[in-house]
Amino acid sequence: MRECKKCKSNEYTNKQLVMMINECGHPLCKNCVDNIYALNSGNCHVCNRLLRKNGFREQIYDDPLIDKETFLRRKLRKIYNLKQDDFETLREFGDYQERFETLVYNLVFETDVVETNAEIQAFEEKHKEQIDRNKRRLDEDQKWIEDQLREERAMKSRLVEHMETDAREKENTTAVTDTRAIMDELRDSNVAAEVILDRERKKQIEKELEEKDEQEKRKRRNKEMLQTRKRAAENMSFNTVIRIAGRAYVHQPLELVINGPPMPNPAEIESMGYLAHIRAASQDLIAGGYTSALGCSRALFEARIDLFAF
Amino acid sequence: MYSTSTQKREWTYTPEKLAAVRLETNIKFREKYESVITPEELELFVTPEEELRMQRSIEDAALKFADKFRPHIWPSVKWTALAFFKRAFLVWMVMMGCFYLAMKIDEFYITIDDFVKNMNVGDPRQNAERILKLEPELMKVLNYNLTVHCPYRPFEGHLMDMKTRMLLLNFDLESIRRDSMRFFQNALQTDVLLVYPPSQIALAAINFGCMLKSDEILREFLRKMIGIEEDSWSARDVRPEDLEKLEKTVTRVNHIMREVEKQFVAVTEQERENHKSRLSQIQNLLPILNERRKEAWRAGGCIGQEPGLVTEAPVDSDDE
Repeated sequence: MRECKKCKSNEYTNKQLVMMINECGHPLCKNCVDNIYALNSGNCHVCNRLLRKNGFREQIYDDPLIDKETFLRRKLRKIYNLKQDDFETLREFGDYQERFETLVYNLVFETDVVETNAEIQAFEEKHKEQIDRNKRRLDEDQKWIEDQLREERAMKSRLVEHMETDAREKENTTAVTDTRAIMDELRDSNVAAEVILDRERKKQIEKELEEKDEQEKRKRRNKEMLQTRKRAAENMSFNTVIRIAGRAYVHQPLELVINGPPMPNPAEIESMGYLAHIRAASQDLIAGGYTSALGCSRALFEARIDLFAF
Repeated sequence: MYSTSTQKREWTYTPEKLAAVRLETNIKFREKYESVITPEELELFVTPEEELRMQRSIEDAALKFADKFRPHIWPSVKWTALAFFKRAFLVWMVMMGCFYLAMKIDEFYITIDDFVKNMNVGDPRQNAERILKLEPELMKVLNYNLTVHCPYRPFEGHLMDMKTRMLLLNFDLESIRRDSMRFFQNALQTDVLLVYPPSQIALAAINFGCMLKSDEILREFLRKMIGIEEDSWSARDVRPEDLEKLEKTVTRVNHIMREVEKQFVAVTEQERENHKSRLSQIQNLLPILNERRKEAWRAGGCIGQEPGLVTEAPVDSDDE
């Protein structure tokens, strides 16, 4: 639940609350930004630093410190973009990375800001060529990703091509074989040409009719399905459906073979006075569901099990 | 409950069967070391009877340990531990592990540190390690049948029945509690828990407690439980099966009491010392024997299974 410190509006009171954050890391809601920085510049409401309106970016992370850090890190990375190859030993690369972390830390927590900025400046000038070169170079991961994407695209286009050529070939072959067969017949057989052509024409018409029939049937089936679904939806109720099939469940109590003298039932336990001889249940036990009759019947039950096992 | 439990199915024997199992285990153990042992060393190995005495001696020490243990151990924990021990002893021996396992099973919460504090020999950390290492092996030996039905709840049940139904007694039934507990303690040093159902052992305990006050209580009590009336008029309607049950139960209870009396021979100090030294001798001998077996195996060209290697049965994966 983010809340603007200035106007105290939160995500509950304003559904379109957008939090903005500037370089000092103190967040402000968009409305307040527009109001306060109407003249494009003003003081931060917390640290009083002079800020510009266009220095505000949308806050992504709930913790403003994190947002500030990621922003600074990204900005600094554009300068500190050296790769492992630029260093001679692994140790140097490590040192470089650690130094980078220290710089980010300093900027985030605003310690030694002046010296840090000066160092960054110096670094930028010193390694200008390397930085430029690295800007253009994509690093390993990027390359690999691009390769993968390219392959995928190539494969897809290949597949599509195959399917198209297959379909076209099939059409051609059938058409070709058909016409060829007819031509052969016309040439070789003794039957009159008109008869053959007639026959062929009839066959074609039949085929067309069949196809039309198929389509009709399909359409009808779809229509029917739609209708049945509509009917079912109309008749649907939220009451329980009474099934007619099957027998009703009747509970049979579990029969335990004691192999001992008969066990008194709960009514008898009370009436015969067993409960006088067992410790009465305290209030907490009763609240938990235990009664002294329960404990009593357990003891009596265990006393009887297999008493007559010889 | 007891009638459907593994205790009844797997771990109940007749006295003859018990003797047979003990003999078998003893023979198997000797056979293992037959090829590599010298005759004098063979002397050290115990016969089944001696083994039983050693078991009793360990049990005696265990009961003393249990009574001194702080916080006070529940009686059912004691019974469970000894039950594990007796069962495992049909295979091999270790008492402390049984106690620790029994505490876990019976929900008697004790950390391993508090447990080893009560042991007055050995370094606590080492003891703890040994016990924890023993636990899974012990469970395996018990075939993971860990529920033991103790006779204490049946005892309470019988006591309640007596108090409710037998109103003509001239003494307070609570007074038999102490004697009955003594009976249970003695019974723990016998084999009754491997042979008889807990409800019968409990009834025997009650009878033992009442013996000093009156003889006929058992019969009267059973009659009331089974529902056989006393007066001559309805005595004719009594079914013969009921009478039979009555007689058999009385016989059984007396039998159990006699068994406990017979088998409970207290272990003397001298005996305990003997056992201890014998045990340590055997314990020292065993690693040597195992080494010899291994060498014999290697000399033979490593055919067959390596002695001492534990093969695990394949376990079905849960993922399938």
